Amino acid sequence: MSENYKHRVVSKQEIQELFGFTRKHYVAYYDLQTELVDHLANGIEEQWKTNSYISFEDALQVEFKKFGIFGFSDIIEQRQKVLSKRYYKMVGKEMLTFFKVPRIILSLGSMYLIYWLLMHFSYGFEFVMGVTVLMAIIALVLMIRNKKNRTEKKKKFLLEEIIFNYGGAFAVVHVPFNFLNIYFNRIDDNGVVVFYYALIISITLVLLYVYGFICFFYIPKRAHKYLTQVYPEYNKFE
Amino acid sequence: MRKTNLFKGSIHTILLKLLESNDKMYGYEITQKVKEVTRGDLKITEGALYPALHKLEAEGLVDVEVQQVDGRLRKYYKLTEKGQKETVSKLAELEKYLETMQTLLNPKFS
Repeated sequence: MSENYKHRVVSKQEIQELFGFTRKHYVAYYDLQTELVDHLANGIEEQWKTNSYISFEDALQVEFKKFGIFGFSDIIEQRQKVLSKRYYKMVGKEMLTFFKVPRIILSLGSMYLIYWLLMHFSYGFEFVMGVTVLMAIIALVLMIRNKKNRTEKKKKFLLEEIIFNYGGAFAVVHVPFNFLNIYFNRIDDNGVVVFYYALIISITLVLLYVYGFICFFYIPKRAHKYLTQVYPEYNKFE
Repeated sequence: MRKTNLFKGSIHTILLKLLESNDKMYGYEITQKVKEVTRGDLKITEGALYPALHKLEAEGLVDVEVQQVDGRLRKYYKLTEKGQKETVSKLAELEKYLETMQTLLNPKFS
């Protein structure tokens, strides 16, 4: 074989077939697809170096078998786990940053205001819950509006999906409603909430408001910054 | 004997060591390098390699870089500063373990 002999390489058309192959095997996200496509293509080309007669399809099957009986599923599962963890770390970090001066004063002030309303007003609890429900409705409306505005992209990035599904933050909306139980059982003769429950409710509510703010507004607004950190290739596909 | 089992717990250390000796590497290159260095005795399976790499990435021990090669995107991994420190401590840990094993397997009776 001459030194200039070039081994067969995976063509553009075959690369597209490999993308189709990963999608068929439940790899929904482009970030993972590109990595697996490159891996499979490298493996196929390696086979062609020793056996140029093997077909693309057969070589692909040989490579895919190397991933074991579960195929790509372990990799997908792990990637999801790792990126969800990364998202929650991101939320935690932003929450810590949030509780710095001057916003910490605002937060403590809000906690005190809620506490005061619960302790001193017969309808304090109803008022606080009403405001909370209103906030939840605003979050829901924003969520629906955002979903409508985001055009369906052909190339989905896993972390992007997590960010714009707000890391499942809407699931915490039910938490304040657990307070109803407290309300019905822990009010004194004047109709106000007993002090330690008022304290728990005020702290929890403010933490939930901040959590909601971070997940629904703060992180989605800065999504581009986070996504380019995790995916250097992200800029090319916007 | 299934040789790979012995190495299961050491995959992160192996990856860190490989990335320390090579500036940056991509997944397939790593599998080939391990095969080459161990003369085929050890194979890092694809199913174990990528979750391990992604974990190192999430822990901030490796950083990623993407390049267009042969019409496709290639994701390279390279050690971060934190990763370099971690490599030193992981290797020391592994060496200590090997030493202990050595003593266990070849005890010196005095």
